[in-house]
Amino acid sequence: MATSVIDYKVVARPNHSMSRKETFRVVAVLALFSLSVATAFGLLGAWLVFPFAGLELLALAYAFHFVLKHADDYESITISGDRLAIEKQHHKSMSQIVLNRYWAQVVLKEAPGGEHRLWLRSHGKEFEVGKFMSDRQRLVVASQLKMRTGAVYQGAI
Amino acid sequence: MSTATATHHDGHHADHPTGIMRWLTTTNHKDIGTMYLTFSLIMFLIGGIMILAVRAELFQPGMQLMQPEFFNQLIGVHALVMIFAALMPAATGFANWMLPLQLGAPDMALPRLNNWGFWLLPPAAMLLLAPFVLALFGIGDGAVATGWTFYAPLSVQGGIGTDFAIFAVHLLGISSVMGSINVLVTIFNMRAPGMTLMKMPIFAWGWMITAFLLIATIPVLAGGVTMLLTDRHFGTHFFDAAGGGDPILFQHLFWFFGHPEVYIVLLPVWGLIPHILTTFARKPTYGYKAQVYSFWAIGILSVVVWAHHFFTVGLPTPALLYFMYSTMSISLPLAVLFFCWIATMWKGSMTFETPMLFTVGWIILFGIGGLTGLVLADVAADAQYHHSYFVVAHFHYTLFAGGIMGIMAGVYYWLPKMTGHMYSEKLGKLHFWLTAIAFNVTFIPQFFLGLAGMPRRIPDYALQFSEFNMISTIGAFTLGLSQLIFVYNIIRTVRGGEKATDKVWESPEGLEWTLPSPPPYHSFSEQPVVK
Amino acid sequence: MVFRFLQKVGMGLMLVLWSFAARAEYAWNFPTPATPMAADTLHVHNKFMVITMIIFVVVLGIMIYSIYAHRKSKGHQPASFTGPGTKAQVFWTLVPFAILLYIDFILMGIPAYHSVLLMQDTKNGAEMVVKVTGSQWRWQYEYMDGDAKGIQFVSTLTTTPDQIANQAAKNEHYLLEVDNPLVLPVNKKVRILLTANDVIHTWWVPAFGSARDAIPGFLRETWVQIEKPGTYRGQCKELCGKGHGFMPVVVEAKPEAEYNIWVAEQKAKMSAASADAGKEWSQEELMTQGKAVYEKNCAACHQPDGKGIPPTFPALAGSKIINGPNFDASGKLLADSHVDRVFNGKNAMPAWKTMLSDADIAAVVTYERNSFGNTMGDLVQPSQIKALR
Repeated sequence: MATSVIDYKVVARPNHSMSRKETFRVVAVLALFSLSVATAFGLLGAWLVFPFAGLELLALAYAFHFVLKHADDYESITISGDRLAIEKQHHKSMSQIVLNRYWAQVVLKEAPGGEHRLWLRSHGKEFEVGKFMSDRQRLVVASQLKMRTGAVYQGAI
Repeated sequence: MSTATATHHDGHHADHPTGIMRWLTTTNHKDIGTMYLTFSLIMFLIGGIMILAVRAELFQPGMQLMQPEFFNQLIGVHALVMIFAALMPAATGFANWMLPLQLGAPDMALPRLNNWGFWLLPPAAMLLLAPFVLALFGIGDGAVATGWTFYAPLSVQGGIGTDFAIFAVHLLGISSVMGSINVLVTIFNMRAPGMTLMKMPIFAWGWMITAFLLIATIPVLAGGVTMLLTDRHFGTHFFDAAGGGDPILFQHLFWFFGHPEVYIVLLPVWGLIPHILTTFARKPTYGYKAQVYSFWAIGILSVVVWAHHFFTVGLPTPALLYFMYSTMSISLPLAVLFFCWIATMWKGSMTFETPMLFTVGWIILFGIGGLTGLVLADVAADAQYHHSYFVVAHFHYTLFAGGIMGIMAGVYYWLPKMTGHMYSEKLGKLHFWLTAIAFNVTFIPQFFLGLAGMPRRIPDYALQFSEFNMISTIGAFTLGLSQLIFVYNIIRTVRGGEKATDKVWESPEGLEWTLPSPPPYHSFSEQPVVK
Repeated sequence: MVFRFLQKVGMGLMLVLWSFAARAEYAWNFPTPATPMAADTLHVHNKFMVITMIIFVVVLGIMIYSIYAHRKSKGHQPASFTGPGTKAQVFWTLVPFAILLYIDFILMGIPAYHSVLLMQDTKNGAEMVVKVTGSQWRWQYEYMDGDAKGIQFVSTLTTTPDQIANQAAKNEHYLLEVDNPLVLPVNKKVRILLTANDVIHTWWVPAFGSARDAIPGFLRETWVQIEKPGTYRGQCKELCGKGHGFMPVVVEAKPEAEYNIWVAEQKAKMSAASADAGKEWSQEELMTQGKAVYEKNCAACHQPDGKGIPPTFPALAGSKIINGPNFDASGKLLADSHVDRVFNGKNAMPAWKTMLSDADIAAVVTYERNSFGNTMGDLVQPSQIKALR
């Protein structure tokens, strides 16, 4: 088996146009402003502004933290020889599933609203892929995979 | 190939919700954008009906149709509905639909948060409106009757309608904050490779400042109304002089939010206007950077001028002078924006489809709103204008002309992209002319009413105000009825009609026009690269 | 200066509008000023209106020219500039900005500064002080110094409910008429102190050019110096509840001599009233007086038939409070009794002790106890109320 030759590989990542440092700066500026306003009103007797400002900033910080946490997430599908490997990086955990290219089937279903979801199926088990792809990307990848897996592959041989 | 699609699954994984569940659970930015816009349109009509009832009462002196209490409820809820449930959701709807398309992102950054943000709105609207219905069954005495400003101690006195409104404001606030966080994360983190902040579409800039302002000011409003609630029910004395509090503190809290709120509503519109101008002038945006810096300047100034909303409470002289001059200085960045808008039109090759008509009308009418705002900044003269119909006319020029007409321009501009169909140009133009004329017939007389000395929020008036009120009411009904054309045109376009091309217009700028109309459920197939 | 010229043109325009106003009975501008502050305000307003109109017309003109000339249907080819290209263009884009700076901070800014100082200067040269108290929904006036010291009265709308309900012809001064107008001498600077009993009100007479909020628990001030005798009418302009549209401000300005006569009359009435409070009133007298007081002051909330608008305004008919005792055996006022509620107020119910005379309170209490189906049969005498003060 010629495992060293990669026949097909697709990697999908969400876009990230902001660095960790920029994120920190945006949150810091907003926090500084919001907290100083809350402090000023607190000094005037309206201390109830404070908890709301605090809660809101926590939510904001968490939202940015959440996207940063997933900054390195990716999903890849690699076909080499008889192997079809699906790699998923989710936050810090990485999972790898290896299917037999020969047995792998591409499953594409349309959800209401026209969105498509994509699975790879083998031996009765299904693995969803394409979380970071847009709908059209999923369609393209699906058709590319179809040409390289299962019966077609068999036929090609 | 048949292997892929013709599968019969017993559906362990394929739990796609259908029907109502689809809308309840959707995380797709276009679905959510559509829901926001639909909600906004419905609330716009509800708020409109309320004010038509008010205008009908004001058609003649004397009380004809309702009691003063009910009148007070209508005006307050009209404002809350129009600002929080019509204008803001419309802007958020556009953000949801267009920001991912314009930035080249597959969706908003936090789709689930997006869904929650929307679904807080209908309960909030129900809280606002429920007291009207409850009163019919003898529960409580109707909706909040304090005007949208909730001034203490009047609001401390009010019935359960006030509590309902406080909770509604909380929900609306949470929803806005969620929306803002999502917009900020999307704008900062989801831009297509190569799209630096200074290459972003200007709509994204407008929304970014709006999101900043919301995050900066919503906690103050939330704190303020919560203090009101504890004053009402838990024996605190934040706004009660007898207990060491101060009613004016509430006004500071309210307007610290309330003034930026004006720009929160207007900035997304200022963001979308340049897109329309450049499309129909066939000429690039003039002064992109100048506009962005003006947005920043206005955003920053907007949080330091709030007290000009209550000059008459008797602020100390230095405070009066400070708030007067800082307010006047807002006219400078605003003038830059006007300059840029007109310079974008200048030497272009203009055509006047409905969006452009609305935009041109918008510039003129919003200009009147801006200029009268400059006059209002004068403390001494403000004693006279304040809380008179002059102010009512002024802020309808900024919020109806400057806000809603801008949103309408946006609707006509993007509707073909969203639905894949062209709207009826004929009806659109008719809608524009009726709206623009009826709007002026409604509000120009109100300037004169204010000058002559008619206070706002009165259910009945002295005889000398009769003629102008009559004209204003006629205008208001024409304005209200013309909106039915708008609704009909939208429904017609959604259901079918002439196919729109991908570009829709002759030479629009921006990534959204590179996609098919309507765009696929998830947008960008190839990651667009901005050069 | 060009500006002077433009101002004249603007004033001319204003004059044209004024002539319209003269023909029609309604006004297009502020009412004729009656005080220096109002004159200043009108001047500032006119000037500002002219400036903004010029800006508007110029900007609109440029835009309309562009709309006319740079349209596709005329074959205009689009230019492609995105900003000022040459130094000259940069200069010209800065010109409007500079003009606006000049208007904001010099042309308007400097006069505005002086107006603010004028408006805020309530004390210098003030010859008398009047205290105005707003309450839902009437104004109270109290003269604080001079000969008139001690005169105080409540000023209530006299427009009748049937006029408001369109069941009777409306008076000329519909909704702008009161029983007791504030009487002030002309040409005297009057310092006006403002406060409120319940919620925020705003005391406003358009012809005076000054409006100030009356805030419960705080004292605010403004001033007027009326230059011409006459009757001036205005309204509360801060939303203060259901009667917001029904609490007008009416000021009668009298020449000093007439004013002094009026003061003397009021003083005489006051001593008569205190004599009244001392005498024993008959049931008939109390009921007649009480009905009048009730209809003027109480009927707006508790309704003419005493049924109220529950829950905010409770019914008087069959009320527990009314059908209970007022005084205990030793003649001490019971808490939460009928007299206590009227005298001291609670929540939305105002404390009438500051607004009504002893006789009025006694009369209205007696009236309420013996009307709307209430049959207490007892009388409350003005002397009993006087004893509570």
